[in-house]
Amino acid sequence: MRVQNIKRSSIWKIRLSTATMTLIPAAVGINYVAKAFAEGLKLPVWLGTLGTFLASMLAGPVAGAISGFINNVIYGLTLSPVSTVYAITSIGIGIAVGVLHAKGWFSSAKKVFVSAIIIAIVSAVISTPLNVIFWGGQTGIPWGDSIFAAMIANHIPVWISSFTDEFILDILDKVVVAYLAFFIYRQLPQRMIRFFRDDK
Amino acid sequence: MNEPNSILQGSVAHRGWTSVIDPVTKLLMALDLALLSFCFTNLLVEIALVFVALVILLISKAGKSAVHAIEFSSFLIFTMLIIQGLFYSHNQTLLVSVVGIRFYQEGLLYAATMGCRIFVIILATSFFMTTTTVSENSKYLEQVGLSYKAVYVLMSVCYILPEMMANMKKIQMAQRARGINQQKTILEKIKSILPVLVPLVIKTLDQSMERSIALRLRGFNSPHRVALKSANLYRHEMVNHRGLSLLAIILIGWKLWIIGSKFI
Amino acid sequence: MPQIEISGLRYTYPEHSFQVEIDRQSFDSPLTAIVGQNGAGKSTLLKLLIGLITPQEGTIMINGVSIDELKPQAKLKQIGVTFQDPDDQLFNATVQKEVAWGLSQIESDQLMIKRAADQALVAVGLADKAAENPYDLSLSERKLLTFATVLAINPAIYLFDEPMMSLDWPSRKRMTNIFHQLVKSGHQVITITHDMDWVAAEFSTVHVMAHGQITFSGTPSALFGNSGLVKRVGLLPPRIMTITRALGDHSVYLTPEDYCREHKQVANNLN
Repeated sequence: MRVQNIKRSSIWKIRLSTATMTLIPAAVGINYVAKAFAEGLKLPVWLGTLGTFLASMLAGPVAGAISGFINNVIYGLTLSPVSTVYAITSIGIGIAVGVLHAKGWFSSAKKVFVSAIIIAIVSAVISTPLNVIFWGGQTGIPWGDSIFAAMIANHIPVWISSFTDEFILDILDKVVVAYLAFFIYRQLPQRMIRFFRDDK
Repeated sequence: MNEPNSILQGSVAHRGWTSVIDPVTKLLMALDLALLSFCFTNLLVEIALVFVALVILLISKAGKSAVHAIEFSSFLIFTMLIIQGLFYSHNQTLLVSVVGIRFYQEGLLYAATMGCRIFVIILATSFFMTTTTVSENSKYLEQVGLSYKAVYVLMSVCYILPEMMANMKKIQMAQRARGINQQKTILEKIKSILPVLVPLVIKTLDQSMERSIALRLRGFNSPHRVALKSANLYRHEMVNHRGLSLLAIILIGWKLWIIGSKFI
Repeated sequence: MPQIEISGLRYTYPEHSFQVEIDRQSFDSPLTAIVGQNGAGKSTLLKLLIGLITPQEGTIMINGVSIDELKPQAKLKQIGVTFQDPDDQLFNATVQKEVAWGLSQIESDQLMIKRAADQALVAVGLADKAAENPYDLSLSERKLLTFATVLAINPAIYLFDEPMMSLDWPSRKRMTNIFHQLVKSGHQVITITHDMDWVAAEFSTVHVMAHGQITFSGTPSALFGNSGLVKRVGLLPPRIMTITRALGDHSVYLTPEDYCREHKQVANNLN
């Protein structure tokens, strides 16, 4: 490995280092496996952003955003075409996690909860217009959609109903993912954290 | 994610018509079809577009992944029909009434239009999905100027997944042998994920570190690296790309015009 | 001495046609090695023995109880296992917690758990690393840690898949000592291994697997004396025998010490 003077670089490094280049496919893989896990255990959450979280925490918001983007593009071109457009949401999540982590909002169990709420808001704000354009406001999760149906049945505007549907699901998902990422990150050996952080 | 190396076999003359269209053209075709479906709000036009996409897909003899993707979305489209048919805010005209539950024409039309759009997107993308291979796409993307780093990242995703799935099986086996059982409550289930995810994440990241060091040693970051040029097997690439891109821009402009004119 | 009895066992993989078939076999010697080429069915047998996969036919009895009648916790007390790659199982924050976790699956007395975990860590020589992150240890130490997780539970039967792989030399000696202590205290140790020198030097019983069946059971000297069989099942004899064969000596030597002892006698006879 190279010898270099250790100086924390800006979290906004754009140039792809070899470390980030190999981290991104790993993050996409972790997203995929985590999602498969959630489906296998019939959990009421998706978990499909776990890898994006970890990439952002390890190598910054740009790495996380790219991981999220590629994740949705590949998922869209292999399994579910419409999910490609939600790449924008994944980019938002990657950036939010990266910034929050850099500002120290992933340092304790209490702070993680606040981070999770902020990330859920970011995710829901970006996803809601997409839900309205493509699915008339639905999320595709039956119990979330039944809340949505109940709300528009009572003449609450589509945007508010759709945001509520998405936000309730997002808050559950992002709290679980944030805590999983928090525990896993704590367990990573220091050499690994240094490798992805310091590499330029 | 298997790779039939169709591109390596035979000359253009021996290959089907789908393989002389380059991947970017196929993607642009899918994009244009999707944009078209968004420009129109008439159900009949949408149905026509579904039909067009379906015909393209059928004559290219590809349809397996489309079936899968349609299955994936059809339940959602079905619930959309019900919810909008019942509660759509512009509902006025009663269409049918089933045991006191009233379905309205406006909502059903609205949902059906959106359902058709989804089908157009799925069918058009499926054409791309089933007629291209991972290696073909990555080679072509590098040819048309995407950075080799981006291509490397896209390619590795496809290779990393089977490797991770194999690792996951081994880890699950080891943890089951240590006494992890099926858990009941949601919290227990989430906790039971960690003994598998932690080793899996660490193993995956470890392999990433090894790859990264290997790449660096092989001079992957060198500014002098040159892309491999391969024989061109496609027809009318530039015309296709420019034409389809222009169409996409016109469609987006048109849609924006329509939206904008509502506010004026 | 704990005992494993197999009868009429047949297991076929659902996805391919590979089949493990063992008509009648008992594992009752204190130190047993299972050898054979890759793909001979060793790992499948291991999974069957710990009940990770269920055979289509036949039964596996551990100390007279069928394995599928054992409750999960009772099974962990009867039979403990470690796999080739230590990184397939480590997930706790510290070495100490990793060892305690396995035990906490069957034991609730915290004091006892701690004592057993500490003892196991002393046995494998990792006591001074108890507070470290398992993944900050060397590969050899991580492997020792996986042994500690089983030692803490102290099952009647120990199953090891390639225990010597990725161990450095001092750790190998340490593990060999632990094996002998386990045997002395009445446990049964079964290992899968490719290390024929080790098998020849330390084991009392060898089972050879080929094509999903046990084709030989006996002592190492009986196995390596049958050079036709050794060749047929794709094994290599101990290195000392490769040398003596090349020198035209066709006797059976399990270790270099064997050879020296034999030849000292020859030398004495000459005098």
